[in-house]
Amino acid sequence: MLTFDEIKEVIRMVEQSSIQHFELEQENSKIVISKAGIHKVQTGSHEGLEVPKAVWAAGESEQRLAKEIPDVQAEPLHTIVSPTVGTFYMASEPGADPFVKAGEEVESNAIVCVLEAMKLFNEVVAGVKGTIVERLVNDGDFIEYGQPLFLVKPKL
Amino acid sequence: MSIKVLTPGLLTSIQDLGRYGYQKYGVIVSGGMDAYSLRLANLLVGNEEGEAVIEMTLMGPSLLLEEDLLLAITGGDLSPAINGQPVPQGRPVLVRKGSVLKFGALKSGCRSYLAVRGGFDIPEVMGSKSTYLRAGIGGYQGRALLQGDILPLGLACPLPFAESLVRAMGSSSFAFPPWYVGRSYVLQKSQEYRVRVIPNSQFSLFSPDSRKQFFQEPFQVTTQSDRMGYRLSGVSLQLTEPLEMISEAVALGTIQVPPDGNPIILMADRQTVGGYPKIAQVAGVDISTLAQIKPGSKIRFEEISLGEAEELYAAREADIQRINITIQLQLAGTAT
Repeated sequence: MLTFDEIKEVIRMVEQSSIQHFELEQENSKIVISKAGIHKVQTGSHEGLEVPKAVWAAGESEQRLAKEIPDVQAEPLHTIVSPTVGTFYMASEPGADPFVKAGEEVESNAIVCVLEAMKLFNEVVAGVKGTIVERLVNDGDFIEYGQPLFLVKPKL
Repeated sequence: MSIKVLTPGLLTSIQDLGRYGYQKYGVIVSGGMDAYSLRLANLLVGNEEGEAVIEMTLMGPSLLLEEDLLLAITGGDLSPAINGQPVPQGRPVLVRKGSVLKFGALKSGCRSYLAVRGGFDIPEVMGSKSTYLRAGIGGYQGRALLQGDILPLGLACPLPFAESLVRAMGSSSFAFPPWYVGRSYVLQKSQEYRVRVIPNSQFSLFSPDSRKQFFQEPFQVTTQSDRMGYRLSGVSLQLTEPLEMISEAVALGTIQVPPDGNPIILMADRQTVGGYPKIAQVAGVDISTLAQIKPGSKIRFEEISLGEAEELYAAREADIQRINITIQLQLAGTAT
């Protein structure tokens, strides 16, 4: 039987990965985490953005959540999450053109931003081929580990 | 283990952090002009921060890398390319044996630094590998690099981190990680550079007008500037009355004013003593900025107190220590 902390850890790992659906069966317990059909809800202001949450529950939660969020799209959006903590920068240096803009098509190895931590700049790649839908954070924001940075509509 | 010089560039020499302890015998300090970039380049390849590196000026060399090696380029942007492919600065780069590292057009700054893992296997003279160009000692045979020179490399154990680069390299001739250090200190974008100074011993002996103009008027870095000093032109700075001085010690960043009124900022290859009145002293934290200003550019002096200069210096050193720790974690392969 998994402890509560272990379950939390599993959720965290799945949340930060690109895994859309995750099941774990062990003895008489079963965990199902599904991210399918869940994406951000725009409430008007930037602060109002809801980050996609991993849900662990029995199978019906997927459907229930789908009902709760009205503008579900057929194709789930890919979320680029932060691989580290640091300060978010859209461009390689002040005044330079941003790495990517909303509406721009990117390859999976395209650099989308840099995160500065302890004076070191870490490049973040798109991880998926597609179109940048939205930037979820602002230039200069301090970013937490696993925080969503961009939404990408994957090109199938 | 060596690097062969195919073309030397304008002024390319081996430099470390300088030859200290011999100024009392008249031996100048030398060393990298932009010590910040020099230290960074070494840290990026896991060297001691004061290891010898190649300093290049305005126009870089073309080098044949005769061994697989880990290198880092920092400072001014001289458009470095490996086998024709642009290579990024401010990060470790693993390069395949037989590649040619060629520097091209100057995009920003004035001086660029190339560090290689293990440093250069050349003898120390008076505790330093820096080239003392005028005396012909230190560095590679006491002179700037020339075509055909073969620079022997030091030995160093391979870094755990390099293995991941080997995998990333595939069939290309070089590979680098997805992180880098910023260039914010050395490369201001403006046409007029701000240089912070502290008034020096003879500041009060300059005329009230000259003292005011020194901080109000821009000065141009002339083409007579070199590793010894930056000769500036602008308003003529004059003393209230003539002064006969006995030569006394000068330091890195001392601004002295000869009778013609055009100030000179003393740099890495400065003489050990000087007899001209000293109007100001450049704050240690701005020396690297100064070293990246190319002839023709304008600078403007801004007065700060000694206390402020010390605080800025301490903050810069703390920054370097932070960078050092982060880089070490990356090179040890404990961070991703």
